[in-house]
Amino acid sequence: MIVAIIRKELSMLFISPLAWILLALMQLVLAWVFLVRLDAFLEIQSQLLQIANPPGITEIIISPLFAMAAIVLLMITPLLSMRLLAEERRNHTLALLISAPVSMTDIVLGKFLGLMVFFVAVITLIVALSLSLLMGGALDFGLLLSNAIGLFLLAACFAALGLYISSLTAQPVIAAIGALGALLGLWMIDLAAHETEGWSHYFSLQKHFGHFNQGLIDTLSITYFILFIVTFLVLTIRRLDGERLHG
Amino acid sequence: MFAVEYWLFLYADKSITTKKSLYVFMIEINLKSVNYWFLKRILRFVVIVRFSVGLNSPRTFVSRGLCMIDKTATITLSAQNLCRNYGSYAAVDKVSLQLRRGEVLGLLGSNGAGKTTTMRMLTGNLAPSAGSIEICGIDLLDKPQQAKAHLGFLPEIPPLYQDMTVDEYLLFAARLHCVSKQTVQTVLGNVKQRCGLEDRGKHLIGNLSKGFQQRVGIAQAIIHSPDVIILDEPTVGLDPNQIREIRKLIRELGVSSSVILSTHILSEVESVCDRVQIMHQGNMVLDETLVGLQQQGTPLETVFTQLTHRDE
Repeated sequence: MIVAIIRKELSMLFISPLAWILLALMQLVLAWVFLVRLDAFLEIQSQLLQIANPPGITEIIISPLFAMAAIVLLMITPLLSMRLLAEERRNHTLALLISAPVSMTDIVLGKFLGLMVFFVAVITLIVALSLSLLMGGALDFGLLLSNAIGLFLLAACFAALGLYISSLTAQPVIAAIGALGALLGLWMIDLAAHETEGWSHYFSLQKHFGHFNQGLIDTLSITYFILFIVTFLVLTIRRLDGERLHG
Repeated sequence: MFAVEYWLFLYADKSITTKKSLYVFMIEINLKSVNYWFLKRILRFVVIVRFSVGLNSPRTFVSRGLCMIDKTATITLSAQNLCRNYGSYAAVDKVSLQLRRGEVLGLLGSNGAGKTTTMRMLTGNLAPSAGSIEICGIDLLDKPQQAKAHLGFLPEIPPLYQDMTVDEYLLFAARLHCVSKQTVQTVLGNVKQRCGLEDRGKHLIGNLSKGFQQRVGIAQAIIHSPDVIILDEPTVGLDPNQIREIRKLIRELGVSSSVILSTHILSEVESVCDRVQIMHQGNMVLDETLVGLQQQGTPLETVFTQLTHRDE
């Protein structure tokens, strides 16, 4: 029962202080970025009025906020995903799930979706932060939506990769470091590819998120994200099945 | 003649040979039919058998479908020629097991004889290199989910989440085994009472003593009233009183389900089991009922020593 697994993952997440601390920390960082950008906007507001077709508050405040959120998510996802399978293996609780009438796919999807529910909560908080600007002016909802979708897909990619790396080891810490390394690697590709515009440019998650960040919902990026998620979920299922077959 | 007519939903794999067991079976159905998943399963495999019981004569009329199923169908678990290789090393080699409803089987063997590997294969935690496993007539390798619904498993190390309370954990186990929402609270109360956990519901599992953790492990394995219960060393680390209680519980479980238990304590087998199988270096070297052993007049300990020390 996939719902049972999602519920269990969420309750496990929220009975540990880790999830709360990460949520609080993330809110703190993002609220600070938000206020800094707001401050900057208020300073240059008078100058903006003099140019034709000036960027609005959405472009000046919210886009950088989501870009920052993407980096913060990159840092915290390994901490959340590390225990998903590594800890089950370490505590020998995987046997409970495997002997229950659920398929390997259900187990992996349940864990993945459980983490995604958490990320949806995170994104909702960021969107709520952005919506607070409605008190002082109008927002570009298209850009906000594109950013939210982009961040959701990006978080899903992080979660899928983290889940896969967690399935490789019995040590949560190693899973966390491995996932962080892999995610940083994918980010670095972006920085390296920035100049050359070569093939490696297509592999960077952050680069694809950049399109969403600018308000461009690109089907190529969506396809890449979905392929990335599916690939790592399938690899996780294969890994767990392989353990049953050969381990 | 006054005849009462019953409609009976029957699995293709379960059968009734005597009138007595028929009643037992009907009661079981009643208890379980509240479970939505069970109903669904029944509908899938259903063989509707109609029979009538005459009140004057205890004659039972059994339909054709029922007659076709012979006595062997009361077997709940059957494993044929199980093999498991790790590289070139054969941990388990051509082991066959059969278990009937209402039977407690003791699996004995020295360390590394392949007991745990066998049990992990029977519960789908490990795929056998060769051989077949059927649980209630459903092939474990072909239809793992349907077959596992009939299984309860307590591994050597109880699979417990230290951060959960006993109630949370058992509710999760119940949901995982598709116990319906309506019955889950009753089931939880029952299982806690059976395992002596009534006043521990709100305790964190991590704070419980080893004995209580073991009980939670057993509770988890029986919460969905499975047909086959597999317990890997259930009495390890318990004090003598707890051991006695757990043995009593296992005997109770053995009335309605089939139980396999592995252990190193020979007296446990003698007090709990109906049948004993001894494994040695991956092979099954003895399969005998305890009554049979008593008739031969050889104590279990002698048999065990003879069979597992023959190399030295």
